[in-house]
Amino acid sequence: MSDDDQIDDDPVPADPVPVDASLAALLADPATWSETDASMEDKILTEINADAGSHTDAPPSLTNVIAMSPPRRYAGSIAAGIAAALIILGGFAILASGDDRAEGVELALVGTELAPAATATALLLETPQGTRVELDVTGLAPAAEGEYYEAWLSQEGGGGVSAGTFHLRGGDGAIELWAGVAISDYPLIAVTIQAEAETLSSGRVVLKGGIAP
Amino acid sequence: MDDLIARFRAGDHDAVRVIYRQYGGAVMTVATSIVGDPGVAADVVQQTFMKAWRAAASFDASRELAPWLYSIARRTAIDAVRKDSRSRPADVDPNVLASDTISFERTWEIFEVRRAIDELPADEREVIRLSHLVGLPHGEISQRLEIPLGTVKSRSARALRRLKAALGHMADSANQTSSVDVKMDKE
Repeated sequence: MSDDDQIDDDPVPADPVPVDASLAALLADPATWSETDASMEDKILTEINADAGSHTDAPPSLTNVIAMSPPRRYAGSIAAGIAAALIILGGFAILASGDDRAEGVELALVGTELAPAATATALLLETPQGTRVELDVTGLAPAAEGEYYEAWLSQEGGGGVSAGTFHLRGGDGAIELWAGVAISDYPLIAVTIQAEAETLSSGRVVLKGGIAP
Repeated sequence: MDDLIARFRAGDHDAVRVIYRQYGGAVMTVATSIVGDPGVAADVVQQTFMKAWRAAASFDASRELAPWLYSIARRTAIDAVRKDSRSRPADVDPNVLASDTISFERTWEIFEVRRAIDELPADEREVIRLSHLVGLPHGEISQRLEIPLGTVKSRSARALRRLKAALGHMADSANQTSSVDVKMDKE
C-alpha cells in the first residue's frame, strides 16, 4: 500500500497528469512489463556457486584477469588483414551524477577467417586516466598455452597502440583494458592472437569490424 | 549503495540477490525488447548477471551501477540476436540485423522506464499497468480492483508524477498530452 493512500478520498485531480507520447508507448508495450521466471534468481545463484567452485586457485572475481601490458606500437602500418573500419552501434551515455553524462562509443567486431565464430562488442570510453576499453567477447577459443590475445587501438592506414592482453582460459566474459591514447586519435580497434615471444603485432587478426553504411 | 556495490564486487551472494531484485526487471525488459523471444530473453538475463558477477571486481565503484548493467545486458542481447542470425539464410547480414534492432538510446530509455516502474508502490504500479498495458479506463479498473474510482485516479496521478520525477525529460510534456490521458479521464 502506498504511503499516501490516506488521501485517496481527496477530490479527484481536475486535470490528468500529462504523459509524453514516448513514455505512453513504452508503458503500453508488453516488453516493458515482461518478467523472468520466479526461479531465475536461484538459477543465477546456483550458477555463481558452480562458477566459484570451479576456480579454487583464485577468487571468481579474478576470472578474465585484467591483463595490462606496457603500451606497444605497431612497426609501421597496420599489418595486412586488419580491417581498418568499425561498426558504430551508437553512443553510450553514462550517468555519472544527475544529468552529467560521459559519452563513449560502442563498436561491434566480427571474427575473421582465423576465428569465424567469434563476435565482440567494445565500449570505448575516454577518461582522465586514458581510454577504457570494455570488451565483451563470445565464441573465441581460449588462447593456447604460450599464446594470448591482444587488443589494439589504431589509426586508418597508420600505427596501432596496444590496449592490453587477455587469454579467456576462464571462459567468456567482460574484459576491461586500457590504452594511453585518445579515441579521437586512434579510433579503430582489432584483436590479434600473439605468441609470447612476439613483441610486435603478429598481424594475425581474429576480430575486426566493418564500416557503418 | 556504496556498501552494496562493494559487496557485489567482492562476490557477496546476498548482494547479488539485492542487485538482481533491483535491476532484474529492467534487464529483462531490455532483453525482451531486443531479442523478442521470452525464452531467449530469460537466457540473456541469466548471462547478464553472470557476466556482471564475473566482472564485478573490475567495476569502478565511482560509477553508477545501472548503466554498467545495462551495457552488459544490451551487448549480451545483441550477441544472442547475432547467434540466431547465423542460422538464418546467408543473405541476412548479422551486422545489419544488429543495427536494425532498437537503438542504443531507445533501449536505455526502456531500461530507465522499467526501473522507474519497478520503484512504484505496488498498488500504483498495478493501476498504471491496467490503464496503459491492458488499456482499461479508470471505471473498469475501479471495478476490477474493487476500489473507489477516486482512489484509482489518485493512484494513477501519483504514479505518473513519480514517473515524471524519475524520468525527467521523457515524462515532461507540457504540449504533448497522450491520447491515453483522454481515455483515462473517461469513466
